[in-house]
Amino acid sequence: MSLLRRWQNETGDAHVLGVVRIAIGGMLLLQTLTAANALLEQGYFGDVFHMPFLPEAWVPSRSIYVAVLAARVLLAVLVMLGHWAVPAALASALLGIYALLCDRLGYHHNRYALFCFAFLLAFTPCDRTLCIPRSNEERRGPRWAVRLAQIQVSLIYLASAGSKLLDDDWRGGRVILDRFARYGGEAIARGIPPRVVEAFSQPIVTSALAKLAISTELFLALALFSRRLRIVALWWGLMFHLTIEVTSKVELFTWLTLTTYAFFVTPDARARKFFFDPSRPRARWLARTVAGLDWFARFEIRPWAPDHLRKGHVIVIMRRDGSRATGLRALTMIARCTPLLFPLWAPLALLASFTRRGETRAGL
Amino acid sequence: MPVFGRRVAFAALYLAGQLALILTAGDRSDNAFGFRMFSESSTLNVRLVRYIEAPSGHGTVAVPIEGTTWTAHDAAGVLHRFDWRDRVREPGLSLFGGTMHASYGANAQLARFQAALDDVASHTPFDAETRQLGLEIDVRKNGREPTHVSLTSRPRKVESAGSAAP
Repeated sequence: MSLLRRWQNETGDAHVLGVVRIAIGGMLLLQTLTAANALLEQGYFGDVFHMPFLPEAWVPSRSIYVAVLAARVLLAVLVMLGHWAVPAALASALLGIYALLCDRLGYHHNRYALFCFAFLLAFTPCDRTLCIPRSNEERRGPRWAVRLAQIQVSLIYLASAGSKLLDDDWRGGRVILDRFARYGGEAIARGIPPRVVEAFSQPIVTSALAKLAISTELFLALALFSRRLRIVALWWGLMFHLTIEVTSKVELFTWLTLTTYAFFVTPDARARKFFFDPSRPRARWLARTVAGLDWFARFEIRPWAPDHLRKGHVIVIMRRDGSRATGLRALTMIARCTPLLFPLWAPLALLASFTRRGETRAGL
Repeated sequence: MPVFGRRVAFAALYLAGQLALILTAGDRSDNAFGFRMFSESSTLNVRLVRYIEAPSGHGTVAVPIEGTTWTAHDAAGVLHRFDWRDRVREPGLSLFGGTMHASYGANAQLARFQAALDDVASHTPFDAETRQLGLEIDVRKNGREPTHVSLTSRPRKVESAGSAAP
């Protein structure tokens, strides 16, 4: 009962939700433009063979469909700008799902997932930051819908892993083996060395890969909710989805999933401090770079006047708990907190684990 | 209802809906709304045929169609050209003679082909020769040996006409 109450009362900084809103708005726009392009190139789907989930009478006429697409473009732009973002996200999601229901030939899991997340986003305080015009609302807001979005991420992984786990062909590696046999050439064309593709096309390897894929999805479904395992899960999930992106055609699914990982970011802002020595060009460059890449507002970036204690460090990072990191450990912290550098986090963390250097308790 | 009660009701309804859709995905040929990613690695090799009245006057014979087009006379004896792609624009449902990937599984693709057959058969009113359209499909599921499936459209009501080359 207390968990339920905590879920309903929880609030947090909404900055990250602004980033999620812009990304999801961009994907809604891209998805709608793809549909508009199909309309121009192939004609209106309702004039030819289509398979509606809905009764045929509910499928719109050509002119209404064009109006729906135009509305979806406008709504997606509003979502990105953060202007009337909440109703725009809700309407985008509902119109998108309506379009899917009008023709199941256009159904794809990633499109449906996008509309699910846009729907849930509409119940979050996603319109309080990164808006044009600027929002005057309190940056903190309720997080109950963010928790629902987190569960939605987990449900997708569970559903995907569960269906594979119950399928002999999938569990045994037969599905992956056949995919490698047919798409190996495409992977090679994308830059994967042929020897790697060949090695991964052995039945024993695909059997192991199948079990790894299922375990990964199950792990992600659960570990994302663990404070201790979350960072590892996020990194592993990133690698998992980038691998899928390279080896398969999945439309926006990779980028949507990576965007939804932001729902798991701790909802605070500038909780870590990034101190840099303004007298050094390298420090100033690092400060500018981190400021540009710090999409989730993890760092408060401040110069400090070096004295006899502080000299020798280009940057010092103060973590949430007040502990400080320099050198390799500071770089690891930066990689951990910035989406574009996050792929580097695990290798840097591994390197940093071999040394105690860069860990300091002394005052700045 | 207080705001907390509304949130609980909303969340319960949303999650129950998602769970219901996931658990019943197997009942839908394409597993729609079930998030069953990469569920199969199946391919189909499809050939389009049409069934016309046998020369003997008893029953029908299958006539293979090259590609997606065929010609047939209407009831007045005027020759018409028909193209499967006039009705079916989806690339995955209009590639005949080559191997195509069934991205949502073989069952989904077969169900879509069946619906497409019925649709095309009911939208070619000037074809007074074809009694049924059909698809001869070799299905290779997850790399196994292919199995053969024959699909036919609902029988068409046609008025008598002379025979024509496919």
